[in-house]
Amino acid sequence: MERHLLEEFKTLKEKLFQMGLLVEGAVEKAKLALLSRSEELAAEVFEDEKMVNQLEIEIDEKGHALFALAQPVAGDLRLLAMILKINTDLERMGDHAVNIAQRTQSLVAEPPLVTDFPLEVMADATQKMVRNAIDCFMNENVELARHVLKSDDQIDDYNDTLYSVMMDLMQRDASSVNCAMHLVMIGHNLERIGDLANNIAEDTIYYKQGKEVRHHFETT
Amino acid sequence: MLNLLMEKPMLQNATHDVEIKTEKMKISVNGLNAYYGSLQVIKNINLEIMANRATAIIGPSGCGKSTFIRCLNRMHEVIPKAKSDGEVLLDGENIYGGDIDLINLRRRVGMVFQRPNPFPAFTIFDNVASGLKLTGTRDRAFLEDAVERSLVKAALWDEVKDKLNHSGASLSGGQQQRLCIARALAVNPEIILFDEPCSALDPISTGKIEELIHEIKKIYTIVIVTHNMQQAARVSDYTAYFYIGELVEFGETKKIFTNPSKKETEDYITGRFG
Repeated sequence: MERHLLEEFKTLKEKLFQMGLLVEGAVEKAKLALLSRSEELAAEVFEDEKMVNQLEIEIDEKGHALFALAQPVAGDLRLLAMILKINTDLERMGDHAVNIAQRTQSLVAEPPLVTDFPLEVMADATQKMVRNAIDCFMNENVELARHVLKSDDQIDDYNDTLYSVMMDLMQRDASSVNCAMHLVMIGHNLERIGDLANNIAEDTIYYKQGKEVRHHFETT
Repeated sequence: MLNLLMEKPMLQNATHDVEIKTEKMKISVNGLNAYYGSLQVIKNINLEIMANRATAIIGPSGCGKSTFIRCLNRMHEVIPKAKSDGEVLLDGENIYGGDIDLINLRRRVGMVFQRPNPFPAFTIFDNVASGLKLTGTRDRAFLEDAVERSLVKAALWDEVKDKLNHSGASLSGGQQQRLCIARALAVNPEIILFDEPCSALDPISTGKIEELIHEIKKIYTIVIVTHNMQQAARVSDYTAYFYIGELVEFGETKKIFTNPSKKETEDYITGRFG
């Protein structure tokens, strides 16, 4: 492939990294807004989302142009295909961060819900998974990608526990239903963010090794 | 029984990464070497070519692609001081065996060259009929039928049916190449070797030839040498990558162009070679 097209690939990957940083930042702000009951931080997530959406379109357009102009094969083909997939996954992560921020704004209007569920730990673990997923793709680190795949189960377990705790709370105290439902949905958002980070880790393995590991299906 | 014996599952191994599937083998190349004088240009090639499939031979200039396919119908030895050794089994029979009829071999294994080379003094009809006439066929009705069928298969009939008595040289480059394909098809070959058939053609003509290859491989076995990576990816089922006379990698085209096993192959097909 011509050098100027290789440069275009590099630029596109850097743009995806920029988007990844924004999305990770949005997830962190959504988490902090939720834990500190901050409407201001929640509002920042909405602003971040606009930039994420703009980047999604730019990366899509540039990626499609490169498919046409560079006609990539082998490793270049896998890289470009995975960039476009990860682009979509990052944008969806941004949407989930926005959902968390929106629910936070509703929760702020209610009295704080008293629960011993470790929401901060779950949110931290999710954010770390997002960071590791972005890092593993950017640094082409298959070992880290496999670590990300393993950590997804932890988020799923937290989500199941949160659901049970909230169901129990709602049964015991009808006045908690509104807040508890918001928290159930926030747990779902975090769990979906974890799934999307999981996708990025799978895409990293496919890009680097040509191995399909989705749906627990591993090719050689 | 012979056909059953020729059908074999292709197994994965380190060198030839091919999915397990049952295909009918048409040509088996075993330990093939080829030389121009003392210069060895093909080195110990082992390769299996499947029936009714298109196999692309790719590699940089001078890697032995054209020499290799010329060994498949013994055209290589026509060049002064050129020689070869090893085995090429066509339907199980070694074409380098002592009692091989070369005219019949080249009828069974036809060839289309880089530049369209119709006989300029011949009409379109006579160009297509020339191979049959050389083998002694004189029956006019038979020839007319064979010419029409060949031109239809070569996707040229509609364009030339009303001017069969015009010179072959009066056609465009793309039409001339299809005329040469029709000429090769007329003698009812089993295998057609294409040596960079589109390198002198524009994209429209190239598209027609590629479509034609896709159609005719249902009937014939195709081996195509090409410098055009996209063309290899578009038209072939299997791809062999040659470098300095050696076979570096052979496998399903889909695998070669998405996830080749060898770094050398990846470097070549992604243009990082050298």
